[in-house]
Amino acid sequence: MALTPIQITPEEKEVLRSRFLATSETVPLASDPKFFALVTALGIQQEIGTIHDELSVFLFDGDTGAKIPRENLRAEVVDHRGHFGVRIRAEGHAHLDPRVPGLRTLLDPAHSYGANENIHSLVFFPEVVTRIAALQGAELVSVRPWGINTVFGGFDPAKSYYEGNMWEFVNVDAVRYAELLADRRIVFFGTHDLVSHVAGLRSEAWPELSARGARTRDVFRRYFAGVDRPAPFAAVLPYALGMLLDDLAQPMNYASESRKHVVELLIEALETRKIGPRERPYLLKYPPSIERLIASARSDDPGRARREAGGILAQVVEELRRHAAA
Amino acid sequence: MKNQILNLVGGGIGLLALGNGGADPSILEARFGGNGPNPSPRAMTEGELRSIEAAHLEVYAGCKWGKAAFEPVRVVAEALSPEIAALHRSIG
Repeated sequence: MALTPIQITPEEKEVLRSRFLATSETVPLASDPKFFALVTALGIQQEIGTIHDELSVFLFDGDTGAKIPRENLRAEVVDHRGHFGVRIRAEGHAHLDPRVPGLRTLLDPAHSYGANENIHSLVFFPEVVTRIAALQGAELVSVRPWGINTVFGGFDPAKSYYEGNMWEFVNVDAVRYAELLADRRIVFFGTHDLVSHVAGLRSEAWPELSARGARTRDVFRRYFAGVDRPAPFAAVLPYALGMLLDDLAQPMNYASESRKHVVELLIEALETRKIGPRERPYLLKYPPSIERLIASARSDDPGRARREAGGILAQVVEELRRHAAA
Repeated sequence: MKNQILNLVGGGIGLLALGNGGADPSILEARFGGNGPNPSPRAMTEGELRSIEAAHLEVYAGCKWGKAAFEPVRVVAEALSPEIAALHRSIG
């Protein structure tokens, strides 16, 4: 049976948004599978072909081996017997080769594969993806503030960032992220979640991931205890920690020793109050060495992180203080 | 507060300067969705918006949360387990 494309008008999107606003702050997609399938399908569809499209980074032509330009990608929300999904195709490319381990498992086989097992379209049904993730011990969830800032707002294809990222920083969403990991939960709204977190998900990773999430959550709770709204000055190190937790929750990075090392350094920096959670000076410049710290964490060479990351983190702290005005 | 923000636009200093203790969070909430405890309906001025966006780019230029931190990997085929195949068939 063919898929039926669905056009979602701005008015219909507003209705969806209103209903979404009434959902709990964090809620399993399985609690209302059809509604959240539509939300997720819409989130993915909106990103495809834009600078926010993380799937396109990994999409190659199956015949030529060439990278498919994201401008060639087209996506539509589809309906199949009352189940909502998203179909992605590439103009001028009849054979798609997604180079992400585990992504093929999430494809709807009946509507993605043609003759000779070639992939002509990428069709995902979030309801099915949610259940596949559950087989691997993960609960896919909606986090309302993030959905509002991504699927339903703050989305501008011309921008190189999501406005939601600003909220992650200002609201110290690293705390929320650690809580999600501790509970073996993954948010599922867009191409990043699909490609980087759900594809290739493996149950054997959860004991370590959830333990690290719980430990970090507890560190954050102690650090921010009694602090209502941390200033950006005090949010930089937690943000870096949250970002590396996100990295480690990507199946391709489960075993990254260099990331784990830098996570431990950041936890130690918070526990020893290298930056006090109640300190509130002006921060006049983002510490440049953060970039080097993240690069060290993302290095394939754990020895490099062990050698240099401690010194770089000390520089980050020094830069924070140097670029702060009382 | 507004003068401070407008000065930031001209001076190229980031939004992070807003974090001066009592920086008005409603400014961010007005623009970024208002999911804090006291969301404000106030619209932002053009200057406030520009300053926040410029600073936002600065903040995220070097370190992006929520990006794939790995390279493409060639995958030839992936066999579906009977359980997963059944899940796919379950919607028709």
